[in-house]
Amino acid sequence: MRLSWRAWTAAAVTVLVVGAVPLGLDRDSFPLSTFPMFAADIDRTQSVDTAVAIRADGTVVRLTPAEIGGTTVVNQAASVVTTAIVGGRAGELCTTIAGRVAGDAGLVAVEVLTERYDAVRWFDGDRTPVQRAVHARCAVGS
Amino acid sequence: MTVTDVAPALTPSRAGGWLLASAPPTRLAALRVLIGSYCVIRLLSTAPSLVQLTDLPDQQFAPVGVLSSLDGPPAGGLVLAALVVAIAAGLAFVLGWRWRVAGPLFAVAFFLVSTYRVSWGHVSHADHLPALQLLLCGLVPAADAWSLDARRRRRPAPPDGSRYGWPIRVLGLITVVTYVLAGLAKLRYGGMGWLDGEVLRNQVASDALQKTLLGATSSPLSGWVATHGWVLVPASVVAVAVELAAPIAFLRGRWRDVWVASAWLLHVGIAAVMAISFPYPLSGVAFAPFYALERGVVAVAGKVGGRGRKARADTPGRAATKGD
Repeated sequence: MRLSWRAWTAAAVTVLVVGAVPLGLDRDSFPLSTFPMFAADIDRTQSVDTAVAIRADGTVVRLTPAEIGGTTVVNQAASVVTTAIVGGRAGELCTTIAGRVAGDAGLVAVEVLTERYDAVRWFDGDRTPVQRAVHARCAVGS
Repeated sequence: MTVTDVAPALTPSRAGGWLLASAPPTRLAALRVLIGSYCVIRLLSTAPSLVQLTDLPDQQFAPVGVLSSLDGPPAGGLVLAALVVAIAAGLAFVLGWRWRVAGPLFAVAFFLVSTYRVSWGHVSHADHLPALQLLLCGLVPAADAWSLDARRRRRPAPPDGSRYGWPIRVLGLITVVTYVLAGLAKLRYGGMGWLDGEVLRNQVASDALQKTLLGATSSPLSGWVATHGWVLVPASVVAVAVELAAPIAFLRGRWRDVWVASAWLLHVGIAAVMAISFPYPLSGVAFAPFYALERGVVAVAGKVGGRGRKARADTPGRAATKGD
């Protein structure tokens, strides 16, 4: 009887807590989640908060997630930039990144920016940004 | 009757029979070793990125789940200590040593470390399923066989029973529920756009674009797929169908195998096109509760043991040694 009660409780908890509660609350958390991976109906035009380095001739150099956000995880690096922009600390982040890339002699500046592209057209070869907003610019090695 | 031999239930009494089906203790033990080993390897392989998190600015900390009430991130030393405790408890978990302590301790430690990992502004979904299954596995008698505890007790292996069967059923149920939720989420948030491939195309293109702009590596296939969106129409329908059809995994034989293979291929496809891997299902561990693992272990052990015995018998001088 006790065994049966345990088994039914575990099964009910799984269905109700793991299944129904996240569905009802519509919340993506841990370990309970609606598992919304790739589900959102997003637009093909996307804004990406990032940081780039600039060479003396003006060419843009893409930085790595570790250089941008101090983490190798892309989404966390993106989150670092977004949090800094929203929190009004883009300049502070810019200086931190400039410090990280200071060893590269060819780089003269870092920009923390939001770039907006048509993601599908990007892969068709059209890499003209729909919008490009620079939130902070700082010199490398200053 | 064993767990894998039982047909799906339709009535409450048959549901009870299904849930409480008997299973050998070795089957649950095999799941303990498999799920525990996966989680220990996961902790070891992601330890460097976990350590990196301790250096992020405090403002970045966005606690979720049981850590939500924290005002700031826990000290880096505490996180490292939790990681060390989790790995040590994980080894005891796999070996089935001091199970009453090691089982719950590893489950809770893995859960806390994983919660910390996703508390930095991005909730990835790689550790939800192993964490949930570990929480159950650590609280059931999964070390009654194939464990150091069982060896220490020197008693004959316990008989098959429902106490080993229901945890296996519920472990499988957790896998099924998470897949069904993922399928429902696609219909809920993506609507019909998900089924005509447009949502998935935009997801693939946006993910690859973000990776490119953040200096990370994207899949070489993502660009081609984004510009040939028609390939995603059948892929979208199949993905949702596979996820919603997860309860098929409880059927026996070919139906179960087809579903497991389809779900696994779904993850292979995601990894190939988006360079996003879900290591738990890709490793097959997520689907292990649907199989009688102990039979495979015994078969492999028998073959290895037989080969070993044959090798020893074939060794020159063996007979002489034997006679010494």
